[in-house]
Amino acid sequence: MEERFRTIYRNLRLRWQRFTRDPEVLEFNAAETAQKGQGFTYNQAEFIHHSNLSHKESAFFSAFPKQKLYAAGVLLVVVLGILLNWHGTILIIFAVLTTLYFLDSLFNAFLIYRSFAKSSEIKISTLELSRYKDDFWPRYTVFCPLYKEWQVVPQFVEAMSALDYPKEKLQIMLLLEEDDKETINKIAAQNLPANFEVIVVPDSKPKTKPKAMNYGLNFARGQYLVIYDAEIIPDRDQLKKAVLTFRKFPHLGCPQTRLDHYNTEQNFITRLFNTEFCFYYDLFLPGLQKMGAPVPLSGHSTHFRTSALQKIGAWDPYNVTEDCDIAIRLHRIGFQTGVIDSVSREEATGTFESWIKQRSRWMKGFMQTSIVNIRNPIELYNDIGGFKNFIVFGFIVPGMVAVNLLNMFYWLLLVAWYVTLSPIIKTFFPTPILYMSVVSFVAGNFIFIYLNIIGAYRRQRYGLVKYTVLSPLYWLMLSAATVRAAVQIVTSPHNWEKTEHGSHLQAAPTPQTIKVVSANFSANLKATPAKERQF
Amino acid sequence: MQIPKRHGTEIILTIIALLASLASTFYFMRQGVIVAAGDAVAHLNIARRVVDSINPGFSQLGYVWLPINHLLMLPFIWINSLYYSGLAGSISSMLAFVAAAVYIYKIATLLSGKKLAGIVAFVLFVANPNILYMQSTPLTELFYIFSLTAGMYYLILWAKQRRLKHLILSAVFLLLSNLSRYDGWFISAACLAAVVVYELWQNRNWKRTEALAIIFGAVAFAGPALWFAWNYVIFGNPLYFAVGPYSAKAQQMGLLAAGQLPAYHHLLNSLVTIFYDGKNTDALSVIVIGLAGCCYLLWTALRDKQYYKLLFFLFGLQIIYYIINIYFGNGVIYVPQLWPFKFFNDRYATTFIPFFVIAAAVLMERLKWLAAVVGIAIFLEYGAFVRHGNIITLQEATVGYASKASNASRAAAGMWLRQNYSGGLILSDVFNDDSAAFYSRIPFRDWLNGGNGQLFSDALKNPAEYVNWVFVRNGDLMSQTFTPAELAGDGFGAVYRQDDVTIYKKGAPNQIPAARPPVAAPTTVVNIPPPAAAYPIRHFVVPGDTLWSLAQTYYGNGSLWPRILQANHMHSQFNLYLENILIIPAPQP
Repeated sequence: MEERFRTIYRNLRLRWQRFTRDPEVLEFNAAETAQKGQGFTYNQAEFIHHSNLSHKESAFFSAFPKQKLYAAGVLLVVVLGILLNWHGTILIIFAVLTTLYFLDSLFNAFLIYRSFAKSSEIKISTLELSRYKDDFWPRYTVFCPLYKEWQVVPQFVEAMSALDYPKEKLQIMLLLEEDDKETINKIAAQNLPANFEVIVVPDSKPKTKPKAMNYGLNFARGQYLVIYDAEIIPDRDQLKKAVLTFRKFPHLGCPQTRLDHYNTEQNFITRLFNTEFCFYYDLFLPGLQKMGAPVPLSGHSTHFRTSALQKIGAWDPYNVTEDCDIAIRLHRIGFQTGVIDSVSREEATGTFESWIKQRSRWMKGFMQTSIVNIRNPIELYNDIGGFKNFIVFGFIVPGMVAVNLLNMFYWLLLVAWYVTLSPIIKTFFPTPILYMSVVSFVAGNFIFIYLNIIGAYRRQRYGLVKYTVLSPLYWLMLSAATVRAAVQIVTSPHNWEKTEHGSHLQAAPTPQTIKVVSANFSANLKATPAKERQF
Repeated sequence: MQIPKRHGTEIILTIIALLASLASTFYFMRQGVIVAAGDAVAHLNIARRVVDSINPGFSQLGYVWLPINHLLMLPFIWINSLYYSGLAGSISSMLAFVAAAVYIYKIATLLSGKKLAGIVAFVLFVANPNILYMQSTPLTELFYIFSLTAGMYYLILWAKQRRLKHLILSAVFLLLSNLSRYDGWFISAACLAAVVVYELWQNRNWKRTEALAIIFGAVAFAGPALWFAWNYVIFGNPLYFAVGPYSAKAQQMGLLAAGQLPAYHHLLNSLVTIFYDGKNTDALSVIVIGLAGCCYLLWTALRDKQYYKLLFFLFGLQIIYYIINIYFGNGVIYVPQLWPFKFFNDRYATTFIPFFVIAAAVLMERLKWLAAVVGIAIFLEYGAFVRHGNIITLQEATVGYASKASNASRAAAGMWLRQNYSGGLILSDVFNDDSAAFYSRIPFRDWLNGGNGQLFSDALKNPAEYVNWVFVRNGDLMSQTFTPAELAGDGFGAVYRQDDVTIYKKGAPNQIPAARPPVAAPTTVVNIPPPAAAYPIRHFVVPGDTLWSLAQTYYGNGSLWPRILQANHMHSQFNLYLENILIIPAPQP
């Protein structure tokens, strides 16, 4: 009898260990690396990502079995609670959610207050720039990852030629994919300026924008480096400002430029989209910077010290939000991230459908980043720079997803209460919870609409101000997109599963990026799904 | 801490104002007049009910008065000593007084470019005895004066320097004023119009003007918007504050029905009332020199093309507001010089003071040595306020239409309850327990009134099941709901009857069979001193009454008049006004 139990116990333990064990990955040896570039083998498939980043630090695996178990455990407790005392359980859940929501609002308000209290943006005057002669400026590398976007190249060439930077010091690298023959041919046919270099990235898994950049990094000669997507139009003096910023602030690893749109006045959505940017880049990010917290970087118009990039093993090609991830890793080795007073302009998505699709992708990326980062909370806590930054990370990444979901939930609840006047809804909101909800609802909405207004005004978008009053509609869209992203995670597990194994990692735009499909807006909207499938 | 040098004057003025504030609050506290005004008690009670009620919470803030003054009392109101002394409400008034004084200095300095003008304005404001009394009370005027003054300061500064920060700050302070008194709504609307006109005039950029109007208006009018929402959510009608049963309009219509609104739809009476109110409160010399200062300001603004100075005149709309208000019967002001020769809401004119003192100070700074003469005239007038016990806001609070004296029967009943209350709920009209509850010191969780919702309605149907006491005052909701016979049928016996108040107790035998006439009418002046048990007696002041004659009448000894003086918190016999009700205490304590 005892023997039988022991066998069962041993079996169970073995299974448990097998289940919870971290998956096995076989790194390339020196010879393989020399031949193919850095990579590893997993499940008899080769992954070549061209960076020294260990797979353990990457998002090659997103949710580990352990994480799934914890999630299941939490769910089990909730289900048990509901079975035992459904009213009490729901009450507690509401209380927790409302408190978190309230705290998030307070945090955001605090951040904006910090941003207002004193200008934290790094400002470099034109006068200062004019003091330096051409031979002062160091070599600068521009990355332009291109995939089936050859139509925009002329615009990009024009924007690059307009840059106020010594031409011979500027190395502009077009990063093309080996399988994108059309772009390769079209580019070859074009008469590119002398400082343009075309790099064809060998076809390998994973096929992502960060992998292309990792590959390109091998050929980069600049002391500093910037990523410009093909449809970007940066301020002419942006590179010079970045150089002076790097020189003045030795601890700054990566200055982020403020982003703007060149098609703001197109319609209602682009107007509100632009307002969101005015707020995000002019108020929110500077607030984060002032706190010394990691700034979630955008996918483009981010400037780097090439040496720092090499030191941290460049980008994580398995993370769909490699830009957010790299900010955290820069912080880990003691660099800060910041915002400089320079603008890059791009195109805003202009139809409801494309907006929702883009935003769900970003939100999905946020969810993935959250899952990856809380894989080992203690490690994250140590890496990210102490308690403050840990909390900030919680508020700005998983917190943003949660708030968007909660917005929808509370709106529905409010409508349900208004329509049914059901006394049962009231019982879920005891006085302190009710007060917190009301303050969040009234003051929170008001303050954030108002901040959006101020953001628009400060960019002198006077005409935008009246549209900004309609921000709650935009937030409703934001909620809808987040709900869609959450539903996608649950309903298309196949899709998610593949992401987990790194075989189909999409070069989807990352959450902080405004990924514009192309300069020719309407024509390229249709091209978007095809591109997604390819990656 | 290093103090920036440029703020040196402000800091010194802050300290002076703070000292003046503390000294005068201490003085008026010693006089026992901080909570003299009926409204002072009512304001304290609203805040108190948020923390002490059968159903506590913010819904107790009600709809009659705007909420911010009560919210500011919340940190202190739960402390009994601060509540019963009235200091819980005075604290915010005092701080507002200090801040208002500093902002008045800043506006005058901004307009004239001379610090001296600022200091003169500061002194004229801080030394006004009416302001000094009002800042020691829980009444709302000082907070309003502060928020309005700060809002105007930043608006003028915005017009001068064109910085968005100042426009937003102006809107924030106007928001506070909008959450404090309805006057603010009128001024804010005018300010919004001024912003639009000024911006268009200066820049002719419609989109920018529109953006600025939204930035300014969204904040400034968040107050009214919140108030509509509050009235809708709590009372089911966004305009409940304007049409509800205890709204100002409803109260004024009661007076109108009684033929007691002489200024109603009578422009001359409205103007004259406001003039006398201003004279009594702000001092005639300040008004005269202030109006002259306005002309001077207008002239210099146009001469030097300093158009931002014109925005200062928005301040004057405060006066226009009250003229309109009493003309349309939304508010009422009684001044002692005009029929019906009472004190009522005279304190409203304190809100004109910043306007007059700033304009006066700007001119006085220019007048140089002549200013000294003007200054002496002003201080003589201020001195007269004090010397004759003529601080009109104080008189209003002690013997005016809605004063402690006019609430005397309820306060007396409260004092009686303080001795005789033996537990259980007290059913009453919400108006009565303002004084009664305050002076009884029985917590609000033992009072059942209209603010308690369903329980109150149930208790009205079947009082014996819910309450042990019923507090009835002639003409109030209780007296309309119950007849004495009904209450007796429910097992309630009258245990207290004085003037117009009767208190019933469950299970008690009917101890007091018949009511006495509520007020000793002027026709029933008696020459034989009444028996000791009848005191205190209430006396209706008629022409020819003097304190001596009253003491002679009631005590048979004219030299006992100081007792009447004390009992009514009067400062001299000049306080004796027609048709007021005096309390005649017993001849011996």
